[in-house]
Amino acid sequence: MSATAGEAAVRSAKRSLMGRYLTGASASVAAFALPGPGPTDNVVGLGVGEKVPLNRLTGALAVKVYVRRKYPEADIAPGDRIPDQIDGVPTDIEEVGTIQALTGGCTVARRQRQRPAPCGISVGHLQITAGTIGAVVRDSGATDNGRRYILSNNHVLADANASQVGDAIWQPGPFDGGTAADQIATLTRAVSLNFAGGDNHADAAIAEIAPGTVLDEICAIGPLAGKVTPTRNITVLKHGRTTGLTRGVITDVDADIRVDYREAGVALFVNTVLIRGLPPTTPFSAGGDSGALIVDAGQRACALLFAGSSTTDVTFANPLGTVLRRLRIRLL
Amino acid sequence: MVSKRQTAKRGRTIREAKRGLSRRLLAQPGVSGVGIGEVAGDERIVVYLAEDTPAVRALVPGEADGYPVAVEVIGPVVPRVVADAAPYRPSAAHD
Repeated sequence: MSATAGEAAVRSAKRSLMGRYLTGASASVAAFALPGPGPTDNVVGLGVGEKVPLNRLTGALAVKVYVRRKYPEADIAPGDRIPDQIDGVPTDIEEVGTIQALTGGCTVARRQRQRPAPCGISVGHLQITAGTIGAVVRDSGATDNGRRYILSNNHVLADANASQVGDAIWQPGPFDGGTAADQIATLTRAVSLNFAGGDNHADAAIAEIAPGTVLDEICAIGPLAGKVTPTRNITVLKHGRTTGLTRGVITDVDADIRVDYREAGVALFVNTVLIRGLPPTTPFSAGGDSGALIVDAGQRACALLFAGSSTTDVTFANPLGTVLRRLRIRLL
Repeated sequence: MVSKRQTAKRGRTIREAKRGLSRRLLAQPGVSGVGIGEVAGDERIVVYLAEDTPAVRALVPGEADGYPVAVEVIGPVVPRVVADAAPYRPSAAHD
């Protein structure tokens, strides 16, 4: 292993790159426009991280250069190429796709009423505090007759089993000031949570959308490009009510966990997905992000966020395939 | 080290070994989870602890069915809803 750069040296190298690439020009590029290979178009963020982020224990620090799109070296003018090293510190270029930005990431006030409401912002059953709208879905197979539903967690849309079909869903959620005047959907069905020690596979529910109130797109992420099975070491993104747009990495897809739902009880989940935040967007989630859809760098849906640690940067999600199957739904 | 394709001496896969361990440990409030992580490319069973006490650490075996077991303290796991003891109540003006 080569010599490891000290953290102070890495931060100084990052500052030097910041002046060179993040001059404000890239922020004005339309979110879904194809960026050119030059750095002012293409570089969307800088951070400090490990040169090989997936091998956490090797520990060599680098300046991370986040680009909208990775280009072959031959397509980039020699003067525009990002150097392999800056002041002796290695650089690591990572493609993050055509997202709007890396921190915060949206101009929508995500705890306030929005009409129409994009996915990725505050929502809640009338008896809860607040969670996040994950995605818009439809019934799978022959039952599909065009009805659109919002997908989120049971504990967001169905108050952890303490609800009835037809209950009102508010945007924003009650904690964010939502009232009966802010209804956007009615509870349709939920995967029942087992608080008696049996296995749970998904904390998920759907609610039928009142016409014209919810957009198909996820705030700062856009439309989905299909789905993908979650696997260890892939980079993922989510947009949620509390922490907005964040990036993380999946480090476990086999986690059996014990989740404390307070007065409702303790529920055991099998085969959940564990995500850790990637700098500069850590932690990956916080309270209120429940229900956010997790996507890969190609905007393919892969998991539904539902739990996490309140003391460390550890987030848990259910694999999307399990969620879709158990609710008998499909993505648009 | 156990590589991805090998099965340990008892012939169980690492997933079966993890499941066996999680069935035993998840009844304990000091344990938040049992999963499979990767260290330098090698899979290993990971026990995620809710609290770091000698009593809880004593529950975790050094290996399960021949697979090494790592420990990580992550704290208790809770639903990611907004946690607030006194949630917002709609005022009369909104009714």
